[in-house]
Amino acid sequence: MGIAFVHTADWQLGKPFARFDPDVAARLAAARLDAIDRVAGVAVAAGIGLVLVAGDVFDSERASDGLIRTALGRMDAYRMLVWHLLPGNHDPARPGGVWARLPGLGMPPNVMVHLAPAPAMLSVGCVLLPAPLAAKEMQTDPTLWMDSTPSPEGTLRIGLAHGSVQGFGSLGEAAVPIDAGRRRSAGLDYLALGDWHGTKEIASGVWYSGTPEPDSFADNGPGHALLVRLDGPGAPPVVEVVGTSAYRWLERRVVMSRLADLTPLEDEAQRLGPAAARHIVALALEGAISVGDSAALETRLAVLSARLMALDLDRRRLRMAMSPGDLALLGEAGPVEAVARRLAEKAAGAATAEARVAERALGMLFSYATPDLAEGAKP
Amino acid sequence: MKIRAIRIANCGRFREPVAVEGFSGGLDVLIAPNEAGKSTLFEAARLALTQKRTSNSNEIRSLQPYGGGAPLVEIELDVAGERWRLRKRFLADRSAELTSLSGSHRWRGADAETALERLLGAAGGQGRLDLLWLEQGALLDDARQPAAESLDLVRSVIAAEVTSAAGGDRVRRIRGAVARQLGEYVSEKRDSKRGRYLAAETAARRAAEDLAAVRRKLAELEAQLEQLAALELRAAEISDPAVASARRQRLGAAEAALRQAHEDIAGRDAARATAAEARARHEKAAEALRSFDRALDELARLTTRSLEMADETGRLAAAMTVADAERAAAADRAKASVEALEQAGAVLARARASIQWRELSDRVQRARTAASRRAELVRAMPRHRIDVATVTEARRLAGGIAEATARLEAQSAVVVVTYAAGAEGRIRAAGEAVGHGTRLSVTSPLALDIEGVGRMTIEPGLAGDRARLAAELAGHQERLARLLGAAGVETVAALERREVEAREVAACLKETEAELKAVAPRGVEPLEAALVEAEQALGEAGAADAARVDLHVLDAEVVRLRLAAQAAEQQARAVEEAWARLSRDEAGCHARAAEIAARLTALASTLPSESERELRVRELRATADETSRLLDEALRALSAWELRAVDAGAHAKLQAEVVAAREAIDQAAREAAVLAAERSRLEGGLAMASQEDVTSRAAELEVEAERSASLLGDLAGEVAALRLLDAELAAEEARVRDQYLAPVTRRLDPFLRLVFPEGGLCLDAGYGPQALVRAGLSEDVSRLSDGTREQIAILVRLALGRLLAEQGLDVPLILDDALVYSDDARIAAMHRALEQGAEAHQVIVLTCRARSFAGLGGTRVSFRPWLPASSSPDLVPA
Repeated sequence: MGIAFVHTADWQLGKPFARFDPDVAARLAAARLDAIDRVAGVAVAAGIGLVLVAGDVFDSERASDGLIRTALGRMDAYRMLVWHLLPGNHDPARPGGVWARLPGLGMPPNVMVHLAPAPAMLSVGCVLLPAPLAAKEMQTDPTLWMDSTPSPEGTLRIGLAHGSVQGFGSLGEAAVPIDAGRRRSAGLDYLALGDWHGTKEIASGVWYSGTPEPDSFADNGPGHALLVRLDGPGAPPVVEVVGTSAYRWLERRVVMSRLADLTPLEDEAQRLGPAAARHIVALALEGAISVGDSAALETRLAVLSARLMALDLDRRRLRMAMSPGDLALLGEAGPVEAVARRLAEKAAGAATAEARVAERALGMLFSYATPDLAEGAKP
Repeated sequence: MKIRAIRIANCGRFREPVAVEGFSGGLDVLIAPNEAGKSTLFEAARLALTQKRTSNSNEIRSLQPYGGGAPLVEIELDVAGERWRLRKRFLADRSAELTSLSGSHRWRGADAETALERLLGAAGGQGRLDLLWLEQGALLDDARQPAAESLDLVRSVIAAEVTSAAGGDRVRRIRGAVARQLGEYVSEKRDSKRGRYLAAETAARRAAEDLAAVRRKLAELEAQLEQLAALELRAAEISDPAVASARRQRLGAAEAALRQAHEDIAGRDAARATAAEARARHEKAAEALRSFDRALDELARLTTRSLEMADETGRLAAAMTVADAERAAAADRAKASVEALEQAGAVLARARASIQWRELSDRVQRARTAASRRAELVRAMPRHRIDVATVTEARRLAGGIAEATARLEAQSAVVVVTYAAGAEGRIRAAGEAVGHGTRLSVTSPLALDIEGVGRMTIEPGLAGDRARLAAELAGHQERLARLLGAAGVETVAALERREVEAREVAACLKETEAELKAVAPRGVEPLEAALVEAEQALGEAGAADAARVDLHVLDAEVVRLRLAAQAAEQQARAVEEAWARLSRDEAGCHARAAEIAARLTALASTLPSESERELRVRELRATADETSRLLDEALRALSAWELRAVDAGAHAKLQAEVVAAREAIDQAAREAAVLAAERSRLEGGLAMASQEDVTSRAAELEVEAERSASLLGDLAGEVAALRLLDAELAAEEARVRDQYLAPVTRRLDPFLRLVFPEGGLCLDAGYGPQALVRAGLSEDVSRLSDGTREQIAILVRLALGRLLAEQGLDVPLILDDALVYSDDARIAAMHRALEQGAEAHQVIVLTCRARSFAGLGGTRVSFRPWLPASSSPDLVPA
């Protein structure tokens, strides 16, 4: 007697992306709700009627009623599916919390919320052992109770939990310890975990599904749901990783010594074509750029940003330097050149606050002394 | 450029044409009195050089005389090695003509003005003139900095000399842009933020505040959730049946313990009452026994005392008998002493009466003698009493009579009788012969009978106030006669003697009366009566005995007897007191014996008979023993109860436990109610909070705070960069300025040393004097005296003039009424400076102070009439 289900987690509905422009933030927030549809699509496509959500359904236990209603509505739209939801560290099951409000907001019949550590029958011969969190932090392993909870012989035992697996480095953000050997000690056929936003198999039959929609630049393989099939008690689970993300978050680092150093990144964006508009890029500029090129650099970065959904620039390690060619831009030698030389001297060396100020003053001097420089410098 | 001559007509006060000619082109001095027109002359020349002939400016109109007319100015000047004549007329007959005196060029009208501009403009034109052509008073007004046009000229001249300082304009332009940009961020004066910078700061602060508020809200919500969880846990604990049952059991046990304690306390209290009653009964029985014993003891003691009192009474009665005998003997002794004293006193009294009689007899004798004498004196007193006032009045009247008589005689004729030999006594008056040489005053008709001749009557006449004097005399005589008559005398002398006699008798009488009063104060008769009485009391024999008694011996005997009588009396009194004491003791002894007898009787009446007394004692002792046993039993029972019953502290604890157990039940109920209410409140609050997405808002605000802080930091960095750039540009500008100033200061120094040998001058960017450095001290020029400021201004102009001259752009330095405030030493130094300055370019000095400028070298020029050439056909109206 086997069972198949979709393992997903860390929807974190209502997560704000305030660091971005409001329209970008709104699109990213909407994408998280859309992830419900995409997960449902994975299940429907596979002919599976069971979805296990391993915690952090909502980003906060203060999620608005409207958001809750929308989320429930999305799930209600797929009546062929049964959604088993588990409170995580972002939305713990506390009195007055988000789960306490669910019944009053019209809970659909195909949504099951597990607020207590009690076995629940998923189907004949298959029991779900949920380990809901009642607090943001826990000192004890919430899955411990599974060890002492028997089930009839020949029953499939599926654990559903949210937390940081001990011995798995520092993965996961929740201060909730989970024993990596729980599957064996509790006789589980599969332990579905949430909290770590990347897709990861911790041990045989122990998986983090990751978040279905990426929400950061962390390069840990987010944006998936797991299609899990258990053929019978003791049989190894068959897990299929299915992509569900709408946007990509990329990190890039460019060491500048001249304007042309930006070209590979520009080419990469070019190659993406229209898909570039679904990319969020964190660009770290390092090295040094000539004072005379600084205006042109700004122009080219603006063009690149316009192609992407968002460009998150970090130029803290990018320095500005003055070259002999820059001095030529100032025209004949004279007092202005003398000032430029002195500022360049102050800007040289370690990137102290004073050097940064001198660097900036140098750029200003060039912009005042050569007002038409930026106009002429195009990528 | 050098001015050679200036001629004007219809200018200011010069309606008639005047000219100043003969300028040397070096140092030229025009000395003329105030209002001679020096300033007008040079103002007209300046306007001719700088204003178009068509100008209708205020300056041009101010040239026009009151009576009207077109101002005419003619200037001869050397420019570019050639001499030129400029002739210009303004206003109504405006015209212009520029002529080369070598005859090579001549322009008229607009051409002339264009040619003039070209001629002067090549050398800096207007700016050059403004720089060195200084009107009256302009030096002080313009002491700090030349005008902008002049500065440009100077800079252009210096730029030609100082090539390395090029680029200063660009620095100034960039610095201006930096200042404008900086001005958008910070205010220049207060260095406070403004514009975007201020807005960014405000936004950052607000974002931080909003974020803090939302974080507080989040924390509150988190706390509420925690609180709600804690409430639920607590409510579960309270409502746990086992816990509730334990609370009830606790109350039941506490109440049972308290009930048992109350019963034990009641038993103990009853035992205490029983013991108290037994103790009272025992104490009563013991007291009865003790009381009976005390009565028996008292009876025995009183019986003994009664016997003692009987002995004492007998002893006192014997003593009383002896005392009575002593008392009688003492009384007899005292009586005998008194009688002896009385006899001695009688003898002494008789002796004293005898002495008194003798004294009375003597006084009666003396009184009788004095009374007799007084009677005699009274009789001897004059019949008419003459007192001193009478005598005095008599003397005054006699004097008045004498004076009136004398004055009457003085006013009367005097008859002097002078007899011839042998005729003496033949003249008689009032029948009396008148002696030889007698002077007879005729105060009344005087009849002189001359023997043998007849009677000659002489009338006193009526001259003077004889009548008044005669009346006065008669008055006096009459009053004197009445006075003497009353006194019974005839003359005043008799009156005076009578008065002396009377005074002597009165004195004698007074003395006699005094003696009489001393001897017999109440008169002679009472004294005689007292004598008779003494004689009768004394008797014949007594008087004789008394005469023989020694009064002193008698007195001594009396004293002795009095002492003896006092001793006897004292002894009798002591015996009497001893008797009285003994008598009191006897009475007291009798009283005490009676009292003891009475108490014995009373005590005996309260006691049983002597035979029954032993029996009574045994009964009382048996009763006391029985009550003692009962008391012991009661105390043993009480000890048992005391052990069982709890003390007050333990009882209070039991009560407190009951209260606490009840309170625990009530508290649980109250707390459950409070928890329910609090839970409702918290749930309501959380439900309200769920209407807004606080978490999202917090995230937004975090980013907003980060963004605004980042923007603020970015703007702060921009401001810091602008300030750094400005500082660097300013430093560069200062370096350039120093380079620009160097040519001026190099030319200034020689002039400065002439006037301020140890001084140095700091110039600002506009070549205005900034500070004078003397003896290492820098003094702001604005704080210097007017004279020093003016001298410095001239020296700077001399330096600029030399700079221009050395560049071939020389213009005259014109000083109108300068050096007004200079002292003699300074003005002499300034003369040397002007003389040196004139070596490079023309210096024209206009002054009214001939004496002060006497030491100034150069060429003296003066006003002289000018006859303008008649309207030149060449002058073309504009």
